This record gives sequence, C-alpha cells and structure tokens, in this order.
Amino acid sequence: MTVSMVSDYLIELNHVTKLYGTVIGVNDFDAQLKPGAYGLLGPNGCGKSTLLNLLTGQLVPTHGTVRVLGQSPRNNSGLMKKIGYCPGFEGLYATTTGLDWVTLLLQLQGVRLRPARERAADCLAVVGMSHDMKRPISTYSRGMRQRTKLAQAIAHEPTLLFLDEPFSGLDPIGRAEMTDVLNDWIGLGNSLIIASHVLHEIEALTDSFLLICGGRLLASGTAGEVNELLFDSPSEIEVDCSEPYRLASAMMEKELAVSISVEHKSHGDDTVRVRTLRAGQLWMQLPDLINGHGFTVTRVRSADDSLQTLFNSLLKIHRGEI
Amino acid sequence: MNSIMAVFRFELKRIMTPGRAFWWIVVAGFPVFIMLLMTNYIQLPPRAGITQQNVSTMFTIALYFVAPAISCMLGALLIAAPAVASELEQHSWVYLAVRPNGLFHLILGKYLVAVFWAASATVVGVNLAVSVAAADRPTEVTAADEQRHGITATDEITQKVVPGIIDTNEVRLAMVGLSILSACAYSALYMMLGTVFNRRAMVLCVAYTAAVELFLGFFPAVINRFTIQYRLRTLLFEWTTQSEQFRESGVLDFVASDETTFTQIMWLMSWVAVFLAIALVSVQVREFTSASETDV
Repeated sequence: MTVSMVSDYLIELNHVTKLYGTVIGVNDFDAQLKPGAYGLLGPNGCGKSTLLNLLTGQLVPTHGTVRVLGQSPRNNSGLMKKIGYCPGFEGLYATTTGLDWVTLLLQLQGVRLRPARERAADCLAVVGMSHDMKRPISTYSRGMRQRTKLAQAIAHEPTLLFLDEPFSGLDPIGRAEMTDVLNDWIGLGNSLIIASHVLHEIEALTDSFLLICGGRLLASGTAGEVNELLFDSPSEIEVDCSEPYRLASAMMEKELAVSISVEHKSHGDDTVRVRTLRAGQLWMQLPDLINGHGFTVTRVRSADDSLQTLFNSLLKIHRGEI
Repeated sequence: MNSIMAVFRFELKRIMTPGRAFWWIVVAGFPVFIMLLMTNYIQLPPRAGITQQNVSTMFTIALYFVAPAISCMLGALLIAAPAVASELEQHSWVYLAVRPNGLFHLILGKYLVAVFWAASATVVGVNLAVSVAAADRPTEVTAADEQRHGITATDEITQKVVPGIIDTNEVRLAMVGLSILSACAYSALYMMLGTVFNRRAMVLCVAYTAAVELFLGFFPAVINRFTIQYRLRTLLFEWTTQSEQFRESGVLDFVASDETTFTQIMWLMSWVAVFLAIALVSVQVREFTSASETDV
C-alpha cells in the first residue's frame, strides 16, 4: 500500500529493534536524517546489512517504526520506484549478460522493453561497462560485477540510493572511478546511504557518518565531531625507542599510561607498548616528553588502528563507562 | 502484464541451457519410449473376446499416465519447485524484491515459464507417442498361442487385435488438452509448495506428489476429489472413448467423477488460483532476505 505523506526527513528510524530469534540485529536504533549523503560505518557483523534490509522493506522491525521518504518501505511499490539498492553480496545470474539483466530490472520498474534496453546500455556505459555489457556475467571480474550492480541501482533514476560495501573487490582505479560516479550522482541533488567498514571509502563521498556497532547507533556527525569524541578515549600506542625502559618510566611518572610492556627486537629499536585511558592527552604530551629526556624515537603509531577498537571505545562512551 | 512478460522472456532465455534442454528431451521422450516398449514388447494374449477397443483403452490410459500425469508433473516440478529457492540461494532475490511489486511479477513470470516448459515438452511427447502407438503392427497367432490359450487363429483375431490406439485424433486432442491443464495445475501447485517451503522445496514437492497425487489420488474415497489427478482422470474418460467392457466394469465410479467437463475445468482453475494466491501472499507477508547468517 502506498502511503502518500510529505516528510522533511529522508529516513526516520524510531526506536527500531530487529531480533532474529534471540539474536539482536538492530538494537533500539533511533535516527532522523535529512536528505543528503550519509556513511553507515561499522565493523563486520554490526548490523549494517540488517539496517539496510529494514530500510528497503525486506525486513519488518520487531519493535519501532521505519519510514523512508515519509513512507513505510514494506511492500510499498510507489516507494520502490524512488529508491535504488546495491547489496553487499553479488547475486548475479552467471549465464545472463549485464545488459539483459539491467534491462529486466528496468522493465520491472515499469519501463517498456526498447527504452529499458537503451537506458540500461546508457547506465552501463556510465559505470564503464560499455565494452563488456553483452558478455555473460560469468566472465566478469569482481570489479565489473560491482559496476553492473551499481548500474542496476541507478538505472531507474531513484532519488535515494542504498549501497552496501560498493567498493568491495574494486582495484584502486575502479574505486576512484566509482567514487567519481557517486559524487556526480550526489551532486545532482540525490541522497545516498553507503554502508562500509572502511572509513576512507566513505570519507571520499560524504562527511556525515552514522557509526554503528552491535546493532546500536553509537555516534553520528562529521568526521571532526567523531574525532573530538574519541580524543580522550582509551587506546594503545607503540613507540620504537632506543631507551625503552627510561621512556616507560617517564610515562608512568606523568601518569600517562595504565600499563606498559616492552618488546625486544632482534633488529632495530625495542618497542614500548603503552595502554592509556586518555589517548588525546598522551598524544599531546608525548613530543615534550621525548624532547625533554632526549630519547631517540624512530617510530610512533597506534597499536589498535582497527575500526573495532574505535567502536569499542564508542560503545563504552555509549554505556557511560568512560 | 509488461513486467510479468519481461520475467517470462528473461527466464525462458535463461533456461535455454544444454542441461535444461536435456531434461526437456527426457520429459518429451518418456511417453514415446514407454509407447515404443508397449507396442513392441507387450504380448497381448490373443484370445476370443479381447477387442481392439479394449487394447486402445488400455493404451490410452497408459499414455495418460505417462504423459499428462508423470511427464508433465516432472516437467513442472523441475521448473516451478526451485523457482523461489534458487533466487534465494544465489542471492538474486533482493534485486527483484526492491522493484515495484517485483516478487508478484517474479512468481507469475516463473509460473508461466514452468507452464510453457512442461506443456511444450508433454505436447510434443504425446503427439509422437500417439503416432508410435497408432502405427499398424499386425500380430500373428502362433501355434504356441493356440495351444496355451485354446484358440484358433481367425482373421478377426489376427487382424484386429493389434497393439495401438484406434481413434488417434480424439486421443491426440484429449492428451494435448490434458497436458496443458496438467502443466497449469501442477506448475501452480509446485510454485506454491516451493514458495511456502523454500528450504526443502524439491524434496517436499516429490514427497507431496508421491503421497497425495499418486497415492491418495487413486484411493476410491472422498480424499481423491481434492487431487489434481482425479480431475484430470475424469476429463480423460470424458474426452476419450473406452471399451464397453471397461465402461460396464464400474471402475469409473471409483476413480472418476460424474460431474461435467466444465465443472472439472473449474475445479482445476480454482486450484490454480488458490495455489498462486497462497504463493503470492507468502512472498508478500514473509521476510525473505538473501543475507547469509554472518551478514548481520
């Protein structure tokens, strides 16, 4: 049933929970997004795909309500004309050509055969598939399949596009080309929700993030706002130094670390591994500490650069543990 | 309708593979093969009282059983039963699910493909099989037959009692009609079972066919009235001529209905409508996602 309803919001998620039996896919998710481009950022298995399934009407929330462009997405044929979806998995027919497949999906949007074929060819050309669109999909590389998936998502000219890990399997050139296509698409005034577990992929398209972990919305905002939030969060840092024990002692004196270990290396400087509750403070004081004591430091890096650590910190902030 | 035909054309093109072509030939060839076996290897006891009409009736029933019943059932099973499961397994479901009424068009488009595939194979099969069964093959009454059955070869027995079907046009038309009805009904049945029980679609469809259509369908009780077989069988006896002995035996009272042809067709069409409606409601109401278990 199509509900005609005007809403200022692109997406409204009101305390949405999705349970798979006793497993929580999405947990009390509450968000209202204005039209624009958003990155849905989270580690693998955090609920991104469940959220996209809820937004595209394939799943029904166990609790709460989902509205997309002011309408409930479930069995809403009117809304399906306005949204495009590029899922994370492939799901393409091996024996079919890319052109035939995109043509079929356009016909299912109500476009007649001839214009659908012309439009499909145009869209495949936009994503750089003009030379290969008449070959069976089984002969496509991973990158070609990703492009073909993107073509079917934008072929019917939706106003809102959902992309689940669209850069997966693409080489650097392919990533750059797809980023350009998506930036052009956003530039036309269309909206985009892109799910990924790689931060820089999303940063190339948008500055607005939704960070989710364990099915929960942990934080939202721009990259700067998220960094600010994480400034004084727990972290682990590695420092390669010629005098590791003196450096460790100096850090403990300044109460910058809660635990320190030293790793001896057969070649080069030993590594001091520092666990801190206030990473921002440590990063700010570390240069003075090194200069003041005259240590020779050859390398400083975050030991837990993974997104999971970032999300663990956000989860603790969310629970009020920090 | 444009979208349904789009799915129909797309799926038809997609199933034009050597593997599917092989199965199409198997489905079409099965009744021909059985008729060849029957006409060449069955030794009809040449005794007095057995008429050409008896033989023709037996061949007609046998042809019905192998073509509109078994072959068509198999054809529909191969295409309709895995229609939903295959889309879910290869993760192509979601692309159709996010189209306006995409799943509605998918189910009906695939249903039409199953009907076309099963009906075309069976219609070709029955036409060839009828030609095989109608071929003129005079039998000879040997001395051994004379001794064993206590008969004497006469012109009547030698010339008339031959394997085959007498009224080929009547049987051909009846079998084509039954094949089309059978394809429509079984494709709808398997489409429903394959949608509702998509995880074990093939196994369940085979089990249902064996238990209900082939076992209960031949039970002389009220239960057989709720099977497709019962309606098709009734139409077979309506549309073809049987021997006097068969008619007078009273068998028909137990295995076929005495209602009109129109009623039988209405029953079958009602089944089709109900089966497809259940399949369509099922895809609208249930949550099908292609996401793997780890892909939360």
